[in-house]
Amino acid sequence: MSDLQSIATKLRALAKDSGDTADAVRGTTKVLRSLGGEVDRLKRRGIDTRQLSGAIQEAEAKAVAAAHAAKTVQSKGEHWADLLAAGGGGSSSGSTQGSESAPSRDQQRRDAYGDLTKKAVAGFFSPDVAHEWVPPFAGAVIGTFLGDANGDAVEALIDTTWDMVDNGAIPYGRGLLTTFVRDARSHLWKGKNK
Amino acid sequence: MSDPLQAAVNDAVTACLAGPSRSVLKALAPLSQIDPEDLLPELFLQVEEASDGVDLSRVTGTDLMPDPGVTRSVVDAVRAKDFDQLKLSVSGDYADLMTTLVATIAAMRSAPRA
Repeated sequence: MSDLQSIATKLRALAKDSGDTADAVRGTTKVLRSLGGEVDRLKRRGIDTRQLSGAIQEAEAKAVAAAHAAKTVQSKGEHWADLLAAGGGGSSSGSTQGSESAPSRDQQRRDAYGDLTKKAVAGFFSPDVAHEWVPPFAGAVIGTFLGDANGDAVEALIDTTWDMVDNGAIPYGRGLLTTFVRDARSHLWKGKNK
Repeated sequence: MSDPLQAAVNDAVTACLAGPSRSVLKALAPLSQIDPEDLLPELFLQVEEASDGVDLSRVTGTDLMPDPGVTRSVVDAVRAKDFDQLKLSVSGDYADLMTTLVATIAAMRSAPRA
């Protein structure tokens, strides 16, 4: 095994550890969200939960940011491990191999939009807010298209969505899916009142 | 289409265009698991590709992108790789940026060609 391949192996192990860390932090985030549900129940009983809610929200935001950071280390580590492994095997020339073939999709992305991506991540991504954007967006998409449909169709869709959450087919907790359902209902309501 | 990122974005946009179905959430869900530094350039690239040959002056509002002015502005910003214009076109945060880019790709796929 060459030095580069040895480094690539170590880097891949580090990337795996980082990926495991990201998964573990995501697990913590799920627990925090379920705690949020318990706090809501206390609130409904008239107990002042503001401080506790604030602490949970703060922890959740930090957990989301930590998971993102660990995931970044994982993907960058894997990427560099691949590069090193490729450079460590085959030709010892440092290699212009494949330079006449079409660039890979990944290369196209990095060449064309690497700079804009860096600026966009720095400019739009804040560790202070949760970045789960899919459930609200999916809710808006579904609600928009269901604007002229009847409420039963939405309820049926929501029921099947809950089933998918329970079966683990959708990687979101009920807290986020509540946002999804709220947005779907909101768009449905707007559609009916045009 | 062998690139997994390209395929995931394509599936999500196709599901958004297809309309109400639980497959919308199922197709969008994998995107949130992808590192923004990997997902964003693929979204930018698909905006560029989907808008190729589109007459932006004839773009109209869609269900997901009601204001054609915003759609044009986002496409222009991506084509020019102009972060300042992108920032002006997307008023909100990261979540708005991602949803706007997916919705823009969807709008471009159904837009009239020049």
